[in-house]
Amino acid sequence: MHARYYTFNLGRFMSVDPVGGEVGLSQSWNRYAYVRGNPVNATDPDGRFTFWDVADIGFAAKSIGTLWRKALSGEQITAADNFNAIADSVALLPIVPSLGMVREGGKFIERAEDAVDAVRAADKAHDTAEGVRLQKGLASEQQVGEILSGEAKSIAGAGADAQLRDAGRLAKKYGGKAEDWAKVRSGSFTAKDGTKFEIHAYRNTKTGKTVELKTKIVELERLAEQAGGGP
Amino acid sequence: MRVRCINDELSEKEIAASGFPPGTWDVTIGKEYLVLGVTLFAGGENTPRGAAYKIEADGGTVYSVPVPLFEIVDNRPSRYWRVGRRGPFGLVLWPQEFFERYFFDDLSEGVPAALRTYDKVRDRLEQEFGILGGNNSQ
Repeated sequence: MHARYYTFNLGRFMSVDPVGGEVGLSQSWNRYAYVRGNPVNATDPDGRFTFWDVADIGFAAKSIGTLWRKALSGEQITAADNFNAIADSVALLPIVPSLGMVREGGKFIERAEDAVDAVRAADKAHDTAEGVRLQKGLASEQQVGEILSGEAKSIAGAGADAQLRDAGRLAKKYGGKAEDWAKVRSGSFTAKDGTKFEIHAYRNTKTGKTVELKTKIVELERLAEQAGGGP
Repeated sequence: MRVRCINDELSEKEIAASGFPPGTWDVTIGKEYLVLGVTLFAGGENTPRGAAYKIEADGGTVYSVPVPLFEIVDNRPSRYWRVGRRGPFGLVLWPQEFFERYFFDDLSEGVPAALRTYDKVRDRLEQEFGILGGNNSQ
């Protein structure tokens, strides 16, 4: 129940790559990406899911999330959106001591703009499997941004009206008080193939530390339960 | 009780007053939702302040969504609701099954027993409010 999830049908990991970036390979600084954003032509069979501390990068998530939301919906990305993303990316420089993140800021925008074109192209291809996969990938990026930006909503624990079973475990493993931990969720997304999913994570409401992100594929979960029967 | 969504995010003023997080909630403007329960958050260090409806959001997750996002369509309270406490000052009106410890946490994890219990509760409330088809929305 507590395993970190690989989003098998999205083709990507939901946690950062524990391996850091490389000089000259700007995509390598995007630690959320899988095989540097090229999952079609590369694999990462040794991908590891480890604890990740996103408190320092949560600051940039909102503007980045905005970019991805617009990329996903096909809205035009404005100069202000670009500026915000660059500004927030630059704010990450203290934890990435090189010009890599500056380059990444520009690269990110290229990726967002590319994504808009890619989604439109996929639409023209009449719901091809690749289009659906891309749509899911972009949606998951947006959902992660929502989780990291502090806009995620509590399901259990701090900020909610329900008890959190793992509060004690989280405090012991990641620090803080048990009562400060919450299970949070992103908004949901329904892909063109009918798959409905959202992202859940644990978040310390005091520090903003967010851990153990996983994708919840709602419809499949319920179908599996129904198939299992029971009174 | 049924409600209709009139907004999918709180205003800045409402956020400041309540302590609920910013951003959109997983609901659709114009869509009706069956109210599974009501929570009165009392505020505090880790708790927002204000009332919320316990609903099944669009993604399927059951959680509490602030009252200002809805208008009331059917104002009858469920006869299955029971009154209980949450925290030192909080109050809830929920079906008895929802009071089970960790119920909503288990439900969000897809624990089969919790899913079965939830389905029974939802079916019961849907019958009470004349909703057919096993779906809580229009």
